[in-house]
Amino acid sequence: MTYSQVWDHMNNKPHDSLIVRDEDGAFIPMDPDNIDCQDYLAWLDGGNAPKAAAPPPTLLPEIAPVEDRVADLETRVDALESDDGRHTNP
Amino acid sequence: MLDFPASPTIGQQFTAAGVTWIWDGAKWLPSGLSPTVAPGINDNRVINGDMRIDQRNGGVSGTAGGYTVDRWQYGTNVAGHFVWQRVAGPASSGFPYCLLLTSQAAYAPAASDGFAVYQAIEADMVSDLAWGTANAQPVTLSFWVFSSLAGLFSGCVRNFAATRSYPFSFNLSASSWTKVAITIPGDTVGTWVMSGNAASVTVLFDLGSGSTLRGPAGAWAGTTYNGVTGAVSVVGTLNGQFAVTGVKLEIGSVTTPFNRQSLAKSMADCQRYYQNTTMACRSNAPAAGAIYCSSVAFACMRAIPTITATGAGSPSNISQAIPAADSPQSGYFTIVSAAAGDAYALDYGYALSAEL
Repeated sequence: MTYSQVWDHMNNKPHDSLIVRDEDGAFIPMDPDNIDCQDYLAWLDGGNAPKAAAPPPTLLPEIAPVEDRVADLETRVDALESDDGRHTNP
Repeated sequence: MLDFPASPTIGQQFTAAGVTWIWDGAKWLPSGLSPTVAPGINDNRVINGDMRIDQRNGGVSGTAGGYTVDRWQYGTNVAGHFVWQRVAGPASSGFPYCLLLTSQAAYAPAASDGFAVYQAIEADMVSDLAWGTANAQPVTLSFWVFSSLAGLFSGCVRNFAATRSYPFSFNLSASSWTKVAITIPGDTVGTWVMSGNAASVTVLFDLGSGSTLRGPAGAWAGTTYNGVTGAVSVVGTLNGQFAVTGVKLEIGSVTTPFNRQSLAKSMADCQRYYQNTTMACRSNAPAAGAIYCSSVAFACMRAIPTITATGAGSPSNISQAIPAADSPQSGYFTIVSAAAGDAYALDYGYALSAEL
């Protein structure tokens, strides 16, 4: 029997109240009245350790600093103004 | 002065002065009262004793050790010897279901082998028994039982730690349903957990156990027994059958009728230990890695439950779905989007277990 940590997405760290039993994928709460938790705690007492939960990859797009974004906008405006004159005032 | 007949027989009627009296075997009762006098019915400490509730299997058979119908476990240290299933019971006796165990091969148990079907009872359900004290109360165990074999069968009542055991025996004719009632004196010694939500008393039927797990009937012993020395081993006969239903454990030395509960109450009793549920979460994600969470509520359980998947459900655009319970009656379901757009996990089936 082995166990794995679960990543706590809400708090961005390994869960401190949930563990996964690898054998059947059961989500076990850290409740000493729960017999599966009792088995897990006994397993820990035997010198074992659960597999660490890997942080999820950062999939949300990185947001550039404000200065860079302003510079990017200015570049785009300059490009438009030098295009064909249709975007300039008469 | 009424001149009642001498030496009446049970049910005999006698009418005088416009009142009909009926002899109940001990005394004359006015007939208007006799049919309405309900017998006292003690609480049953066993849950799902009539085997009606089978949330895990819905009547489908199994062979693995562990839970069969709700609250009843099949236990062994030797895999692959019994098929268990909820099947039709002795309906004419008021029990449409029973738990049937059928031996798959003739096997002679080694000294420490055990085959049994049993139920552990939560301590707060039996606190008034006061076992382990000088005030220990007797209990009466009654049940309907059937076997394809004839002879002396056995079982045991013991503490959950299996350090105190009371083996009992009962005779059966082959292929005939029999009601058995056994009164067991309270155990005045030993260590018993008699309060709280941990396991206390275990009621066990022996399907065949080795010599070290069997002892003399009718006495408390400070060791682990499953049954009685010399009793029938169902596992010893190919296709040997053992079926049981109507199991009742009550305080006192008198057998009272089996409690007829509503299905709603029986189900709620069982759901304190096990229940099935579904979880769902859906949102429109702006990008991959977005996290959404929905709360989940369920019938209050004995402890915060372990959650195991029972059905894949309908996922779309998610990289993870994580169920979690944070109290005996609530939890939450987290999903992580795989990309921008509609992300969901619907109808994810889960089993919640807070068994003893």
